[in-house]
Amino acid sequence: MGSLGTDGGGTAGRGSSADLIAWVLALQERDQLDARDCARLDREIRARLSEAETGGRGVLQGWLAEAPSQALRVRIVRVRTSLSLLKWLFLGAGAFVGWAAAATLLQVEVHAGRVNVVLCVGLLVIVPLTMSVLGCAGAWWSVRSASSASGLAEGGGWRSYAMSRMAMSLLPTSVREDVEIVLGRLTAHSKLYSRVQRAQIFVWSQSVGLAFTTGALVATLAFVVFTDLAFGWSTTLDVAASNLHGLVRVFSAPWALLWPDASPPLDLIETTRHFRVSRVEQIHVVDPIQYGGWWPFLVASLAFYGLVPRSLFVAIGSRWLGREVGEAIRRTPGMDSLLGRMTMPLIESQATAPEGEVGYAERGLVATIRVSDWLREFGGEEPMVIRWAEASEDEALMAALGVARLLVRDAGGRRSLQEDADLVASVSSEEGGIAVCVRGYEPPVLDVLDFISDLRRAIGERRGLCVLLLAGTESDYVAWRNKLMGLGDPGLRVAPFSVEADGEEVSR
Amino acid sequence: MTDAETPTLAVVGHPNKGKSSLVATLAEDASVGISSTPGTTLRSRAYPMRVDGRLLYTLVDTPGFQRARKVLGWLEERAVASEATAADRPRLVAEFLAAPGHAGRFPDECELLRPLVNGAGILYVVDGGVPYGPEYEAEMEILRWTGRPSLAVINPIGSREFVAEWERALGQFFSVVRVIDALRADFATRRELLLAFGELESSWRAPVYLAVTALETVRESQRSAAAQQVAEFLAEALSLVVERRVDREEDAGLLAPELEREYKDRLTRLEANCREAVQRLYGHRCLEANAGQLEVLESDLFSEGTWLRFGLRRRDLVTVGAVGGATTGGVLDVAVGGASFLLGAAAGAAIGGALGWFGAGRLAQLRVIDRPMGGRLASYGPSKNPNFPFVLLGRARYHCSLLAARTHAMRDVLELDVELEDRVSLGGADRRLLAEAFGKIRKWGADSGRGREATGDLMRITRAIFVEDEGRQDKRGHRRGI
Repeated sequence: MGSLGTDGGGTAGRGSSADLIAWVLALQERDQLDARDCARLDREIRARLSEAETGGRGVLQGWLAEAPSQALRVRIVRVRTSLSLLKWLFLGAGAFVGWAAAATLLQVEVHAGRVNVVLCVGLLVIVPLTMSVLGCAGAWWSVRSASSASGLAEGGGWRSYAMSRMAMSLLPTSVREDVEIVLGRLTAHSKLYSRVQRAQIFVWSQSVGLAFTTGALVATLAFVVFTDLAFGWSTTLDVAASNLHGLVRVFSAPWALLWPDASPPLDLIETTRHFRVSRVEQIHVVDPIQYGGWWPFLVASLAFYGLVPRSLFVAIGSRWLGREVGEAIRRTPGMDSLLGRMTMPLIESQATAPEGEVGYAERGLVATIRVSDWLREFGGEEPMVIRWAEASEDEALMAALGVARLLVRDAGGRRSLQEDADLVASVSSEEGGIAVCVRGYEPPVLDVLDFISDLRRAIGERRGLCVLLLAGTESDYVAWRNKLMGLGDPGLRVAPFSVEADGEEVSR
Repeated sequence: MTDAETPTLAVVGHPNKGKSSLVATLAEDASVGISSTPGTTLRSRAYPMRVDGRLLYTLVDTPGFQRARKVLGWLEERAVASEATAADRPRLVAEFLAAPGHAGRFPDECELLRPLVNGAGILYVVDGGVPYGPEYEAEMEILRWTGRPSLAVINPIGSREFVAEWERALGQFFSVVRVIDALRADFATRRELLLAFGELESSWRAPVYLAVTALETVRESQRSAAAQQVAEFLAEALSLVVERRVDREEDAGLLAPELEREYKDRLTRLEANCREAVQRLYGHRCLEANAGQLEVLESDLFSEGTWLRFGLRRRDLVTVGAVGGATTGGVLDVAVGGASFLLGAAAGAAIGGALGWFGAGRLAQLRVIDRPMGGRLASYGPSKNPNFPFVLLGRARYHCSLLAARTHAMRDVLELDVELEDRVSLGGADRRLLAEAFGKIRKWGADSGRGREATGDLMRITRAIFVEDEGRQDKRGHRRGI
């Protein structure tokens, strides 16, 4: 949208789960504000960021730094700190377990003074590597299922579930609710954030694995340096040393050229094999230095099959997590609105003052009569009609009223106020009722109402005075009646009428 | 340009001629009081148009003339008495406002003349649906006495029968006369009127042009955001599935009506949410709409399947079984030196696949630590009908076109329950591109990377369609002469 696209730099872009949580909280807080205030504040931030050097943070990152309230900023910092501590806790635990596993294998699990190198490689290298590969496959599988499967499918798998539950339980209560927005399962946007959850769990699990391997490697090196380790290999199976040598050669092929000592030769394999029943003889015939010859192989295995793939998986996972977080931020409810507010010029064109109250000064009733009733009052005499603002032609008016003769006078419209006053004065001396014919569809302005008042004053209360509403709708009639009521003239009547095609009078 | 120097346009005229409607349309403010009762506007009300806080112009809604002849009479008397020339007339209007007692006797005229004395331009509004009358001449004469730049708008309320008559009359008093239906003026017409306003004085051109540019930018953003909402709605609707786990003894078929109802409800909710979001985008927050029932084109979307723990699916097990079987068979093929012509691999794949297929059913029935490893699953959706997304798009498109054309003066219910068959259909190229995007979303799911890409494509196509629709509406508006 506009210049603030969400797919690259200068935007929310990639980030961590803490970034996503910060965005969700900040957008939620924004949502509480009045829409107009929201637009104004965001536009102001945008203007400030455009003027100021954003230092490559991007406009949206700038918004995130500026928009949240002080209380929310404290909350966001707490979430970041907690997640960071959680990460280090996992890493520390992984490293400790790695160290402990290596220490156990190198110091405790020793038979006849010798460390079983096959067991070490199996437990410190093969098993973690298998778990790591399975973890990757599981992550790939869960993402694939989540893309196409339903909400009921358990895409995350038990490992993600267990790990996220564990992560939650380790967090302080004050931040658990915030973190649950992203890592929790029972949220309104679980579908949106489940991909982030998967990626986060993957990164955490691979990071723990990396820490485990690092711990094991450091422990191995420490024991190699500070103690005299005697390695050997042993198996109940009838395996020839040459077969094991072939396997070891394949296993150590990646580093054989770089570090030849880490690829055990056949004679080392032959001489370091031991059997429980003949251990005394073996010790006596082999040079003790040779028993330490396995350590480069063990260290290289840990480094190549432990550190390298785990580091790779952590890097890939971090990239994946960043992408998912970026996408989730882009799709977080409220983000589109924010982008709209920041990119669109803020247009305010609404009134600043409230609308005035409308009221009528009803001071009396105005009777509604039929035109034919009004005409009957003249008993065959010529009715007098004052035509206001040239409301109608003479002939049309007579046709409309159904009379052959009509005394028509004119007022309003182009006539001057003096002409109107003269007319009022002249009719005041005459006898009989008077009608003022107005266009019903034109609103009753004070000009005509003043004239009717002046006319009443001049002719006195006893003479009939009627307002003929020529044409107009029901609502026009209501508007006229209401306005005429405001005159407070009990003798005033109103007669709405129009002429249909067949000439028949239609009155209300 | 300071706030005091920015252009101001006072909307004046006889009562009940659509002044407030025109202001509501131009200011895009649905809160403006509009009524068929004359005299609804009692006081002048300013609508400052600010872009990013900068005032560019102000519209002023005013009460209608009530005693125009008396005001004109006062002015003429005063002019004669003071032997004033035409050049003195604006001063006389100012004196009318300042004269003692006038605020009480002529409240409406004072309200409407004050902004003009303070430098506002005149936008005189008349109703083209009723005949011209001589009582308007006093009003126009007073406006001429103010000496302010002016333009007139004929607002045909109900009919256009007397527009020509009004054009002849107004042409004698105003240099610019426009016919604009205040209720239905499309964006292009409003833009044109604002530009005409900017031309009234040379110093007004720049701020009004800036305002028009901002309005155009917002319009474009609204259209893009609406297209985004519609595309996301379509993607979600295409992937919509309603599922329910079925107990071992339960008859899954009995769940079909319930799932169908839930599917329709969720689809309707998705559409309603999309509509609400688009309405908000166009600034119609409290719009009442008569939405027609959304028809799902298929009734056979119910199916029964299996769910497995860890997100496994039957086809995953078949794949794993087939690959495993082929590998095992392949080892045998190698062992016999290729004499089996890969029959071992083929047979292994077939056997492994079959085991995966039947194994999935067995696995679903297993329980580990009292937790089921799977079970039966009843589902409804997603729709496979190729026309389904086009129907949804047609409805969304119609809704968006109504909103784009709707002014803030319209207070009627938005009528969406119409037959869309006779509406403008899609072009062949658009249809093809849309079908392609729909196909991708159906194949990959709305949440997958490719699904998101397809949703992006959908948004771009939809936006282009909206642009065409609005262009068509504008042309239609111009053909009508409004």
